[in-house]
Amino acid sequence: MDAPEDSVDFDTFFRAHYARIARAVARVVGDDACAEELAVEAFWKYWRTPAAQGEQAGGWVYRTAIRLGIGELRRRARHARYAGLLRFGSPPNPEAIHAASEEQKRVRMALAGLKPRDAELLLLRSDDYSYEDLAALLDLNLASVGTLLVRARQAFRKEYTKLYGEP
Amino acid sequence: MANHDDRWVDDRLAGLQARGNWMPDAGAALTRLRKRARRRAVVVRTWVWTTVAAAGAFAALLVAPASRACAQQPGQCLQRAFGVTAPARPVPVATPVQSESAPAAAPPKQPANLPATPADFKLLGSASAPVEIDLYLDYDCSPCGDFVRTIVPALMEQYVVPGKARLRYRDYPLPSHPYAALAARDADAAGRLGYYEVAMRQLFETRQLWDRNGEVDLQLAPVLPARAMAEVQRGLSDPHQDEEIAADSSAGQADHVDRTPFVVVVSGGKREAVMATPLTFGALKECLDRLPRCPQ
Repeated sequence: MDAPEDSVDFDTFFRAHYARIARAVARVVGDDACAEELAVEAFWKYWRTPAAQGEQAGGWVYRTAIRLGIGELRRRARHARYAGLLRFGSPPNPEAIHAASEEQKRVRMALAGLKPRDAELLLLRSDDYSYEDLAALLDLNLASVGTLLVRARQAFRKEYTKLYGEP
Repeated sequence: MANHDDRWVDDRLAGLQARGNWMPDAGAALTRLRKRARRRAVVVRTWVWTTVAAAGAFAALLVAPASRACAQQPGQCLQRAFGVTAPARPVPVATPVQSESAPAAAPPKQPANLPATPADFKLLGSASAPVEIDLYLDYDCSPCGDFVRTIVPALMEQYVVPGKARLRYRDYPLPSHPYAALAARDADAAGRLGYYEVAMRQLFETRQLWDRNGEVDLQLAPVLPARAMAEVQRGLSDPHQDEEIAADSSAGQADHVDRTPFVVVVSGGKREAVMATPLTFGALKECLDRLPRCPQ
């Protein structure tokens, strides 16, 4: 693929996956505009990474987008920590207030405190990716995916408890 | 407990949802991506061309014969490169004249904008002057440089310009100076293009730079126009280039030259060496003023 504008294949691929990926990122960051930016960024990385352009291309972009979302989440968490605020994104507008519940904010803060791979595992798994898909996407041994997921869940619960007390 | 943990965590994560009625706009996103690709293409193209231009300039510097000299004297080098005439370029003290007895040989082919080739560029003054002062020089000789710098101007002023004498430079590279002959070749090649005095003075001034490695032409490059420099370098492969040096050296052996600078005064068909030590202007003047007999 030489360039997106020269490639019908890329357009088809983009249109086929973009909405799903942008919505997945929006789940992570809780901000539609930011999610679209990050999704475009993930496709941009895909275009510039010839090695990613194969059978697993959709999964590769999805994982990259989730990873970018987690990165954004961690950046915001750091900012919130330094600013003493537990607020995500731009100043809340009525839509955002409606969309993001207090519980969602807590979950995102907890995710931001995890190791990126643990957060990726949890988010991909919650989006119904199979163990085989997770192993392929995250370059893991299939036999260890279950163990890693258990540890990721434990880590999530521990982080959540640390931030907000025993649920 | 583990299952309970799993369910609790999965429930929390399942609660993360994008807004239900939100539909990402793939068309607008694709347009943004294309704009970004175009911007990047422009940046890449700019970067590539800048790199190619820089590499080209660097390569040109590497292959240019005067690169080291340019590094030492960038101002003059730039002036030459852009065709700006250096205002402070030294001008020969006197203009060589056409010898009356010189055969009417066809002038060598010259590129445009080089001065006409003087028939005998080593001869300064009137061909009809009654006395000739033959000055034997070795370019790798510090006293020769001093002589040219301090005594030759006085000789020019008091004897050559008034027409009392003419001055002839002769090459006499001593065997103990390995690059002196090479310097003489370069000076003669520059002389054939009308730049003899400029080249000679530059070679004396930069003697300590070229006498270690023989890179004579690098020192000439800053004072010669680029085309003349190229001609000088082409002239170095001329099989006849050493004939003048050989002729001067033969004359020097006939005059029993045993050091440089060495002066022979030719008057009334007689050749007489000025043996005074040190060879000062006063000693020369005394000799010239008492001709036809030069007191020793």
